[in-house]
Formats: sequence, C-alpha cells, structure tokens
Amino acid sequence: MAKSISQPVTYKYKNKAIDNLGFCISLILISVIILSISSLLFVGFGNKDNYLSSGDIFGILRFTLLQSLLSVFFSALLGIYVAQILVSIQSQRFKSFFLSLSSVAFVIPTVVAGIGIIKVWGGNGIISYFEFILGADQNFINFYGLLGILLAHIFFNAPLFVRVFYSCFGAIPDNYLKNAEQLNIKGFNYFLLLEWPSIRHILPLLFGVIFLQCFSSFSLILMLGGGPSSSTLEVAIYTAVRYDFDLNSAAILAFIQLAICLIVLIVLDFFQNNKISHIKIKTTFPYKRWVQNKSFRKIFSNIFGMILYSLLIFLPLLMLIISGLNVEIINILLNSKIYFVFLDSIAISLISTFITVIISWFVAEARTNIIIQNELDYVQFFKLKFYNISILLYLAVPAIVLGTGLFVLFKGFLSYSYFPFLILIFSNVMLCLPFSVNIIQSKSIYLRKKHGRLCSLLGISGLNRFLTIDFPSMRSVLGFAAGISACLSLGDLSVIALFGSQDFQTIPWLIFQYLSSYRLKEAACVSLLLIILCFSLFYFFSRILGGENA
Amino acid sequence: MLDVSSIKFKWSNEVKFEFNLQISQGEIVTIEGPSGIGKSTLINLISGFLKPESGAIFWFNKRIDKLSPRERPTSTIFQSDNLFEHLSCLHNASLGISPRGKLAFKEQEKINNLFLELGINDLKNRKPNEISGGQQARVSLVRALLSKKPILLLDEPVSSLDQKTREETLNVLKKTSKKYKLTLIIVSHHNDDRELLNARQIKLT
Repeated sequence: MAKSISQPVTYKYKNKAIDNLGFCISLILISVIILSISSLLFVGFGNKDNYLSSGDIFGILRFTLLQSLLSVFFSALLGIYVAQILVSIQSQRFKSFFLSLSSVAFVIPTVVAGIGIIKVWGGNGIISYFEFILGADQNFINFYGLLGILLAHIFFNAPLFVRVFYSCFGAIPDNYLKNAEQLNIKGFNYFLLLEWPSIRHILPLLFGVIFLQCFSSFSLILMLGGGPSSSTLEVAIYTAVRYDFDLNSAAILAFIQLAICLIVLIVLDFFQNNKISHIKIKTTFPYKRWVQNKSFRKIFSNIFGMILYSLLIFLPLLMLIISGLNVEIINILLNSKIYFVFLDSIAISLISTFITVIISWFVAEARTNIIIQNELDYVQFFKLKFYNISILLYLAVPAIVLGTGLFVLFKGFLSYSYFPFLILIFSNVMLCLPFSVNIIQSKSIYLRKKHGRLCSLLGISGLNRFLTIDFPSMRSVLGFAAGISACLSLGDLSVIALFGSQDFQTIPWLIFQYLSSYRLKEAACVSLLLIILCFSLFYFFSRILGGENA
Repeated sequence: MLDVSSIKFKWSNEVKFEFNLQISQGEIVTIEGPSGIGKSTLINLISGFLKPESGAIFWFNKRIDKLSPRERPTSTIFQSDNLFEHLSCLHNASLGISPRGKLAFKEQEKINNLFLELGINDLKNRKPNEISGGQQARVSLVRALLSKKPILLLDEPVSSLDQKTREETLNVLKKTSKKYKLTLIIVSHHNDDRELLNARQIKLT
C-alpha cells in the first residue's frame, strides 16, 4: 500500500543488511591482504640471508620510478596531442570509430598486448623489417629494456588519457572557442587558457592511478624488460621468490613498494572527490562546432599525430591478428592439452567474475548509502574511507607480494593442489574490484537519487524493490562490470607466474611459456584465441546478460 | 558600410536561410524575430563562425566573408561564457590587446581608463563568477573596445539580466558605441531594447 504524503519520505535505502554486508566484505578483504603482507614481512625479515645488496635495491627502485614516471608522462603527452586532434575533427563517425578501437586496449590482456608490441618493435618485428629493407645491418632500435616497457605502457595508458582529455576538451564552452579565435589566442596560449583549466582538476587522480599501475606493472616488464638491468620492484620480488627463494630480499622490496604505493594511494584518496568515474566521458557533441580553417602546419601536425598514435596503439593490435593467423593455429587447435588450459582459465574467470560482481554490488551500495547523504559524521566519514581503501588497496599491494604472502600464511593449512587456484581467484577479484565497483557505483548513485523518493512514496522496499526496481535498472552496468571482470581475470599474468606449473596452467601462463622458449608463432596463435575468448565473454556478459542498453 | 549580400546558409534541407542587409558605420541595429528564424545564425555568419553556401559580405567594399574570424573587423559578445572563469576581469580584458595578456605601460593605462569609464574599476581583480551578469557584459565590452574592431556583434547579451541591469547595460553600450563609433548589431527579444538603444529594427521573417 502506498504511504501517505504526510509521512516522512526517506531518501536512504532502508536495508541495513547491505550496509553490514558491505562492511564485512571490506573488512575481510583488508584483513586478508594485511595478514598476507604481514606474514611475508615477518618471515622475510626473520631470514637474514639475502642475495641483493643495498646498491642493487636502490638501482631497482630507481628504474621502477623512472619507467613509471616516463610512462605516465609520455602517455599523457600523447593523450593530450591526440585528444586535441580528435576534437578538431568534424566527423562524429570517425571519432566514434577511433575511440571504440582505442577502447580495445582497456580489455586486452597485458600478455597478449606484449606479443603485438613485440611483433611491431621486436627483433623480428615490422619495424626491423623496414630497417632491413632500408639496408641496415643491425637493429637501430634496442627494443628490450626501458624502450619496450615505455611502448607497452603507452599502449595501455594513452587510450585512457585520450578518452578523458577528449571528453574534457569537448566540454569547453563553444563561446570560449569563439572568443579565443576572435582574440587570436593560439598555440601554447590556447592550451594554457582553454585546455589546461579543463583538465587540471582530474590530472592528480589520473596521474596517480596510472602511476600506480605502471609502478606495479609485472607481466609487461617480465616480457619486455630484457634482463636484470631493467627490473622493477615487482619483477625483482618475483625473481627473489620464484628462483632464489630469497624471502629476505622479497620482504625488503615488498616493504619499499608498499610504502611508496600507500603514500600515492593516500594522496589519491585526497582527490576522491574528483573521481574519474564522475567524469562524463562523451563521444559525441551535439552542437555543431564551427569549422576552423586549418593551416598547412596544423594539417601536417594532425596527420603526424594520427600516424604516431596508429603506430603505437593500432599497429600492435593489427599485428596481433595477422601474426596469430599462422599454420601453427591448426596444431594448437588439435592439441587436447590446450583445451584443458582454456577450460581451467574459463572456470577461474567465471568464478572470479561472479564473486567480483556480487562483492562490488554490495560494496557499491554500502558506499552509496554514505555518499548520498549531505553531511557525514566521523563514523560515516571513516567508513567511507575504509570502503575506498578496501577497493583500491590492491593497486598498492602487488600481486606477487600478495601471492607470496598468502602462500606463507596458508602453507601449513591448505593443500597445494588447490591452493594456487584459490589464490588466483582471490587476486583476480581484487584486481577487478576497483573497476567493477566504480562502474556499478555511478549507476547506483544515479538510481538512488532517481528512484529513492518514489520507492519510499510507493512503499516499495526489500526484495520487492530489488526484483522490480533495482535489478532491472542495474542489469546493464552489472553486465558491463562482469564483462570487464571476465576479460581482466582471463588475461592476468601475475600470481600465476608464481604458482604456474605443468599441472596448473592458465592461458596467459601458456603464452608466457611459449615466449620463454622463443616459440613466438604458438604464442601469437594462443594470444589470438585468447582475444577471441575475451571478446566472446565480454559480449556475452555485457550484451546478452546486460541487455540491449549495455 | 556593412553589406550582407544574398548570403545563403542551411543547417539541414528543412532549415535554410537567406540574408540581405546593409548597415552603416556607427549605426545601431537590433535583429529581431521569432525563435529559430536565424538571428544567431546571422551573427555567426557575419563573425565567420559559420560558412555561407553562397553570397558575400563586404565591409566598406572589401570582401570579408573569406577571412577567418580573427581577421574580420568584428568582435562578439555572447549571452554567456564570454569571460574565462579562471582569469581575473583585468586579465580577461587585456586579452583584447595581447593574446598573452601581457601589457605595456601605455596599454595598462588604457585598460584602467576603460574600466573607470564603464564604472567597473573596482572589479579588475575579481573573477567572472564573483560579479553580476551586467558587470560581465561590461568587462566583455572593455575587451571588445581594446581589440579595436569596428563592428560589435551582440548575441542576446542582456536577455538573462533583470530589467534594471538590462537598461543600465544597454545605456552603457549606447554611450560607448557612440563615443567609439562602433557599429552595433544586437540580437534581441525585447521591443524596449530597440527604444532604449534608439536603434533601427531589422526584423527577420
């Protein structure tokens, strides 16, 4: 029965169970992570034998910081450059196609992208082929090392910068652009007066998140680093644990990595009000912008920018498909062992996705309960921070550290036969959580504001509200979050690098094994199959389960 | 004289416009007509933000429709977003002289005099969001005067202001345009704007 108008209309979701459940989930996640890290540090610092000197550690730290900062800087630079070009292009169809194609980089597994990048820039890549045609005796480009790492990080991060900056530049009021044209404001002044103010608010958060991702990057460094001189903290921890079982060095490196990441994370939390998820990423602008006369220099610069971006982002994707379609694909498809690896990976991905989406929904709803309130008391303020930390903590805690920590923590309690399986699922869930929660969160806040009063007025609550109002409305974002989570879970090569063996393999691990034994053709074939699988799962979750509006 | 001669423009096959008009130097005209008739389109065509399909625009017999907006003898004040929000009013106005906003001593003096003349001297260091709509229009006017362009196009600059502020702003515009011999073309929805400005009416039908 509908409530009378005179009754107070509650704006809150009247379900304390969600609040409690969300809090418990966050508490469990944080506890497991803290316990695993503590056990690694405890065992590691208790063990005095180590292979790494302080000079080695300093060198690793310096390289980790250098590659992260350079990766963020060049990705942002390319992002600004291409976003400027994109905004000046009139064709909406081209822009939509360009941005959609760029989005592939968001869901493509790192290990697969690594293959595409090697096929372009590596020893037998397309660039060396052109060098050979031009008569060079040896490769001018020494790809493996810092250059390879930067190219890979640019591949993953520049498209995100392009999307965000394009959206910001596109939101500059049209009259500002007209004023700038009449007042002859151009070049660097144009950037300072119009573009910089539109992006400066989101830069700290964007830079912080990308920095953390590059700082704790693992699989790309493992594939493209080219040796100890280009090792990062995460790879050094992996080497110390997997090859030397040097837990002391691993603990020291993990401690340094955690300290730096946590500082960045705390600074990031300070900028949470400017959440990236709050930025409306638009791909179309309905207002017909006036057509600027482009100088020859500007046209040349635009073409150069597009070629550069295509070379760095689109060419690796293209090469991935071309190189994957070789004769080895028949052998791969006829190999029954590969099917088992694929089935294992799909099972892990589906379980991880299911858990991720359920957890994300509860945490997002619990956060929404706090966010939609106008004024927060201290308890709610710290509760919100607690949720934020539980979601973002995995950005600070490297997968290798977590895996090793969990191994040290549970080695006496759990059988090794299914222990890696559980750790892999846990790390996949933690990996997907920041993306999944943010996807669900935006819609949750929107729906709460839109439906909250109406549901209170009509007396719709509890399971009835869930089935008739919330679930149908949330279906599209839940499907999208599941699609993203499935792709990320399927393609992650981090914890599996520690526990992978002949008995326990996933697709990324298989690709890495092929690469390690220089079987690039097989690696390319499996990569292509992995991409097809990723897109199929993404399509299944986002379009079929998520519905037409996904 | 500004001569808009057989200018044709279409947004779509259903929405087409053709304009013919002559305006003398120093004259004040109001462009009036119902919504969707093409008032703002005309302003955008004269200022160069839209390209006509055919026809020509002359300013003292010199063809200007092939020039870019920055090369045309026009400056424009829009209904909103005329001033960059993160810059002070003084910095915004100084962009009329130098795109970098850096000024010589004489130029600074000139700006100070204009701020004084338009009664906004105490607003120089304020940000646009700290002043009223009418005051924002005056700062935009200072910038337009500094750019030394003889034609000032106004696309409903006072329509969102209250009656009193609108009258004050229009009086300032009228006085200033007379003093600096500006040709003023103003898009308006209010009949009394024309009377206040003592302007010629161009009614689009």
